[in-house]
This record gives sequence, C-alpha cells and structure tokens, in this order.
Amino acid sequence: MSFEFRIDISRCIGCRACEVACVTANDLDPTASRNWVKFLEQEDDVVRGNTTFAPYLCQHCEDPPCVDACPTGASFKAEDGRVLVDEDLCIGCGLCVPACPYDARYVAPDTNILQKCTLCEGRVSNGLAPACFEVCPAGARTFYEVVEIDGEERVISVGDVNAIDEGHEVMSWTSPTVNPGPTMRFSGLPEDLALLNEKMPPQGGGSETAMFWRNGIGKGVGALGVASAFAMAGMIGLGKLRERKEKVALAALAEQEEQETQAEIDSPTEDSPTEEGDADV
Amino acid sequence: MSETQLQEQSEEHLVKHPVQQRVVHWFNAASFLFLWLSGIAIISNSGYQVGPTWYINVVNSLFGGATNLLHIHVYVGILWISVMVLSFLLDPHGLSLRFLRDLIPTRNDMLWFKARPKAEIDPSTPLPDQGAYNAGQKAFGIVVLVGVAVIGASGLLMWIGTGGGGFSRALVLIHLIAVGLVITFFFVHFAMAALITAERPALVSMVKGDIDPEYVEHHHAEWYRDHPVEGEPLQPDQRFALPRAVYGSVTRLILKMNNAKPKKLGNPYLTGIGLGLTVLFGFVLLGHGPGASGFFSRLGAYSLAEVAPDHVASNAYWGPVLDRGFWDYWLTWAVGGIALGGFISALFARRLNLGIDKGSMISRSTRLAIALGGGIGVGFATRITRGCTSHHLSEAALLSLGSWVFLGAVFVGGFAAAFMFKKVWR
Repeated sequence: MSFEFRIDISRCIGCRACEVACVTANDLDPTASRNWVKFLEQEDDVVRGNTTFAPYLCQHCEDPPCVDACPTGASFKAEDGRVLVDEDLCIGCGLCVPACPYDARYVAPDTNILQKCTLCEGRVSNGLAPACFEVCPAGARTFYEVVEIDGEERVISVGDVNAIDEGHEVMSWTSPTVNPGPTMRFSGLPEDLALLNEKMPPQGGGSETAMFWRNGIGKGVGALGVASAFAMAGMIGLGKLRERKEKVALAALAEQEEQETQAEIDSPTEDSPTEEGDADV
Repeated sequence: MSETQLQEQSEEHLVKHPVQQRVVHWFNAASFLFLWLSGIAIISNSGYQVGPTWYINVVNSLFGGATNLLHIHVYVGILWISVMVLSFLLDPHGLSLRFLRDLIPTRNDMLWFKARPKAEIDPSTPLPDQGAYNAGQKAFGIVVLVGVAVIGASGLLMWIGTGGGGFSRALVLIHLIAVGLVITFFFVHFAMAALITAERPALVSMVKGDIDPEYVEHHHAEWYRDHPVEGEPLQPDQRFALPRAVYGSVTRLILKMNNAKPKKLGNPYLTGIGLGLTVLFGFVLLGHGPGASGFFSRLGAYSLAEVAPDHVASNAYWGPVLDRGFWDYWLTWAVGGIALGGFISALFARRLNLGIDKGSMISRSTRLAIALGGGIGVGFATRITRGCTSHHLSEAALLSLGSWVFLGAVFVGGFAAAFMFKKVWR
C-alpha cells in the first residue's frame, strides 16, 4: 500500500468544502460529488446544537465487494491500492452500486458510467494532493502517499496521518459481519465514532440481482443446456437405432423375397411396399 | 437463371424458403452466434462468468482487449437488431407476415406434441397433419422471435443507459436469461438440422430454398395441400428480387424509350484519347492525375479508426493518413463520380444489367473467389508501389521512369497471364 488516509470526524465542521472541491477537481455535475458529509444527530442534539459531521468517501478496500460485483471487470483494484473504474468497460449496469457497503458509488445519469472516488489519481501523479484533503479547513482530513514522478520519489501529504488528537481514537469502518478491509481510518472522540457506527453501519449483502444471477441463473442455464444436450443425444441415438432396425428389416425382407422367388419362379408374389416410418420434428 | 429454368425447377421442387428468408435466417444465425460467443467472454468476473476462464482469455486477446470486445459486441448487436427489424418492415413480398402467420399454434400442434414422443418409440404412430412448420419448429420459432426482441431491447437499453438503478441491474439479468433460453432451444434446432439425417431436406430447404415435394407431403401435409406441386409454383425463386426490381424498372423504362438493343461499343482509340484528355484536365485543374487505390486505403484507415483509433494512430503508415481527412479527400469524390458516371453511361448505352461477368468454364463462386484473391494481391501491391494502375498512368504522363517500368510490366504480365488463363474466359 503506497497511500494512507484518515478522517477525524470530531474535527469536521460540516462546511462541505470537500464536496465542492471534488466537484471542481473532477469537473463533475454540481449535484454529484464523489465524497459526502452526513450530518448525524441524536435526538437531544438538535436542542443542544450538537451535531456530529461524518465525512466519508470510498474506503479503497483491500477486498472490495464492488470489484467482485462487476460483471465486465470494469471495476478493479489498481496496483497502488486504489479501487478504480475503467470507463470504457463500464456498461452502467449498476450491479456494483448496492454491493458497496459504504454507498460510495453511483451511475452518472448523463454518461451512464459509474462514478466513484479515485483519490484524485490524476492530481497525485502530477504532484498534487487529492482535492478534498487539500481543501479541508479544519484539518480533519489527512493524507500521505509516496509517488514516483519523472523517476523521482515524491511524498505527497496533507497533515500527519499518524498524529492523533488527545482523547481521540482510531478505527476502521467495519462491523462484525461486514469487513471488506477498508484502507481509510476514522478517528475522533469515542462517542462520535460510536454514533457513526450506529447511524451509518456498513451494509453487507449486495443486490438481489447479483445473488440471483450467481445462485440461480448460472446453474439454471447450465442445467437447461445439459438437459437439452442429453435430449439431443437421446434423439440422435434413437434415430440411429431405428435406421439400423429398418436396414436389418429391409435386408431380411430382401432375403426372404429372394428365397420366395427362387422357390416359386412361375407365380410372382405381390410386393408389399414398406412404409418409411420417419417421424418429423 | 432464366424464366424457363425457373419453371422447370418449380415442377420438381417446391420453394419453401425464398432467398430473402434464407438471407435473413443465415444473417440472424451468424450474428447470434457471434454475439453469443463474444458476450460470454465479456462476462469476465469469476462470480458471474458463464464460460470457462481460458475461453474468456482467448477471446479477449483475439479482439485486442476487453474494451474492443465490448465495443464490437455492441456495434454488431446494433447492426443485427437494425437488420432484423428492417427485414420485417421493408418487406415488399409480405414474407415476414407469412412467416408470422405460419408460427401461429393450432389444435393439431397440441395433438402433435402428445403423439410425437410416442412416434419416437413406435414409428408407426400417426402424427397429425402439420403446416409449413410443425409444432416443434413453431415452438422454436416463437422462442427465437420473442428472444431476439427481448435480447435486442434489453441490449439497446443497456447501451443507451438507464441510470444504474434496479431496472439497470434487472436488464443485465433479463439479457442473460433470454440468451440462455434461446441457446437451449438452439441446441435442439442445431441437432435436428445438422445431425439427424431424416431431417436433411429441411436443412437443404434453408440452403437452396427448394424442398422435396415427397418430403413435404409426408411432413407438412397441411401446407402441401395448400401448395400442390401441380399448377402454380408457390413462389418463384427471387434471387436479388429487390435490386432486380429497381434495376428492372429503370432499365425497362429506358428500353421502352429507346430500342431494345444495347448500343455498339465505342471506338477504343477514341476512348484512349478521351482518357488522355481526362488525365490532362486532372493535371490542369487538380494538380493530380486520376487514381483509385488511395481512396480504398483511406477508407480502410478510417473504418479501422472507428474501431481501434489508438492502433491506427500509432501505425506509421496509417497515422499520418488519419490527419488528412476522408470526406474532404478529392479521391473520395472522384471514386463516387466514377461509379455515377459509369452508371449513367451504361444507362444511355442500354447496357445496364445485374450480373457476374465470367467465362463459361468457371462457376460464379470460383470467379468471385479469384477476384477477391486478385483484389487482395493488387491492394497489397499498390501500397508497396504507392498507387494502382491509374496512378502510374498519370505518373507515366509525367515521364516517371518507375511508372514506365510498371506499365511495361503490366503489358508483359498481362499478355503472359492472358495466354495462360484464356481457357477460363471462354
């Protein structure tokens, strides 16, 4: 892994500059960012004016379920650890959208191509930090990556990924049942992290369509194919068998006729025409 | 094929599948197989894949990567659906309506499905009379008809894009299920047609169009009663019916206006002078003599660039060609003009006719195969020598040594080849 990134939710002030930066840097539709800030409120928070802001984005998982859900191989795990989409291969089917436990993907309605965070691949390879990290005014987002530019190793960083505030804890965004190995880390006050886990637990399971395909269709289509192959083989076998039977019968008949004609040369026998009994399909 | 030959044929054979139906059938079959085989390779994810991994790898590398494969699959699919829809819409002979009518299930079909398995065991079991298609063929036809519509519609919707929601996800599944069903039925269809000898006449009728009346009487009694061999033939074999109708109406009009006989051929020496003047005008007006092969090489470059732009751009020969434009290339218009001028000239000389020029010693397919081979050879050579015969004719006018050597070689080679192949053209 060549990059590390962490978001401290207790530092976030909810200004949403990260969303705007993402739209600008990636030239996106203003309504469609690739990272988001959710406002988490407990019942009495409204009265106290105490809101927890939860910035989130693609976790660039070690074992990404979205890549697993993509039928064409358009979604892939790049060598540097990023989870990316090959736009030329994406058919916009959206099977990966419900597969993501973090709801970090969507299909752009205008291009019909999947949109997701690339950790600003293009900016980083040109020596710039990802836009949303660079723009954060509260220092909630920290980023570190070593990249090779023109044969030189360059460190691109925003803040210090390892400098945790006093009293803050660090966690991975997982649950006992859902753990795709997110490479991002969250930090913050324990009660804020607990709220994040309570209000936005990672969603497992993926889509029914994908499950149906994997469990039902493959086997169903396969079984149908095998069944029709067997039916075919059976029909051909029976057909051949019947042909042989007919041949044998005809040969026997011819032999019989020959004997009969030899026996009674003077009185010619009446031939009984044999009906060809091939059935049609 | 002349009219009398047609009459003779129809006395011995019934026409089951006119040429339009056969062309659509085989186009449908070829496209479907291609799309099936390429589609399997597109689903490369191990969780979904329906084909073996080695197959997916082979097909992907065969098409130069998954991106190309996906694009080709989509383009061929669009072509396939367009042709299939057009074949139903542009149908001057009402064949598609007849086809649809022939697929309607009847009471006899239900009885047939009951009796058919028994006949497999006891061939003497009587089967109810069947129409143009028996119940099994009808079932396959209906599955294919509905399947093609569903596959085409879901494929087009995927290509257009439906936003990645539940509907989009369902489309992929619907596409796959429809293909699976059609393929299952296709296996049976293929076995019946190709492997079971008793059904051979049905296959032949889809290749040649004709069907043995005896076979029809036995297998499609109902249809046979409607189309007795005696009397009017069901449908004369309409080879190239549509282009013929167009050509025929135009030529008939011209022939009516003029005498029926085509005009005499012009004086070759006068024609030569005319050609020389054309070359001269080319130099004066364009700064070029005439050419032809440049158009085809550019056509090739631009067609290939539609599919694989990076490959063409990186090619040392094609790359620069791409920058020079296709529609603003003078030869594109010159070649179009040659076709148009030839047409008009033939029209006025009353020589307009649809046919394949060949000697009596060889068959049409041999003639076409030889022409294809010769064309490839010439095309290859023109890129080596930077031009075809007409280019070197223009260059010879500029006293280019290479072009004079070329023309000399053409004459020597032409005489030698004419000597060797004169029998072919008798």
